[in-house]
Amino acid sequence: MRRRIALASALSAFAFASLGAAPAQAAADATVSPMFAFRVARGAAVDVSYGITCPAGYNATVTVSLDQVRKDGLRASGTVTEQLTCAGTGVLEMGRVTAHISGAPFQVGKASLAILATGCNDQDCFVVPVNQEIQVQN
Amino acid sequence: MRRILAFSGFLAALVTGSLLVAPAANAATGPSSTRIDSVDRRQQGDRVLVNLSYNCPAGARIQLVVTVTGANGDRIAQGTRQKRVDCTGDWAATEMRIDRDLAGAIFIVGLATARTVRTVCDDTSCETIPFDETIRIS
Repeated sequence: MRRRIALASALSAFAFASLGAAPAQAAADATVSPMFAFRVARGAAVDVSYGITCPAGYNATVTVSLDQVRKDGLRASGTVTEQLTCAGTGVLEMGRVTAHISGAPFQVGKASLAILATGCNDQDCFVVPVNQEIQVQN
Repeated sequence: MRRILAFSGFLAALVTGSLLVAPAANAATGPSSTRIDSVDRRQQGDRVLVNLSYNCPAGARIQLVVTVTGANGDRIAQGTRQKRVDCTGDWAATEMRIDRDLAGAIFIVGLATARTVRTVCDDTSCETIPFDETIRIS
């Protein structure tokens, strides 16, 4: 229930952000808004949800990286890269970040999230970096 | 409180209804799909046996790259295998033996995650589509 409320609230916030003034994160009318990080498969991966808005006609590459120092001091980290075609409107995306084999599984708790969205059309490009802390939830 | 939740829910529905359109799996080569039917632990966890179904246009060829990642205590178990098969235009099944990467742990029974990257090629073009799913190693 709590997760549903959190999801509804965040989606509301995202809706307002989409309808109102866009966050000033992008160079060329592109924004990325991290939303949730849910641990899956005993920490073998984390599903990271984010909203992205980018100009129609652009092909975007989004790299999502998660890095966590666990309570026991071990490090869990992973990266996933996805391709998408921008529609000119906000879309919700989810990237599954798989834990790197040389590290540990992800735990519930804080982690450093880095999202880099880049995109180009025939003439122009955009780059949107986002770096923030995120709570990994079960 | 109820009213706030209802409003949030409405906005969530608005956002998800209008923005959460699943990316089409219709490649230039035609629609294709994969799903993992079962994953069995073999050789004391040094290997998993993956039963996978795929569907792609008759006459095309599909390359499947499957990576299974699981947690084992504070370590990660992972293995990758690829296979190339002909498409029949209907669902077909195949089996993949995936050995663990020796840099990580052995596979154990329980939840894990699998990433299937399919590349479908016809005479004119190829399309690559990744797909993540949560699986259970039995």
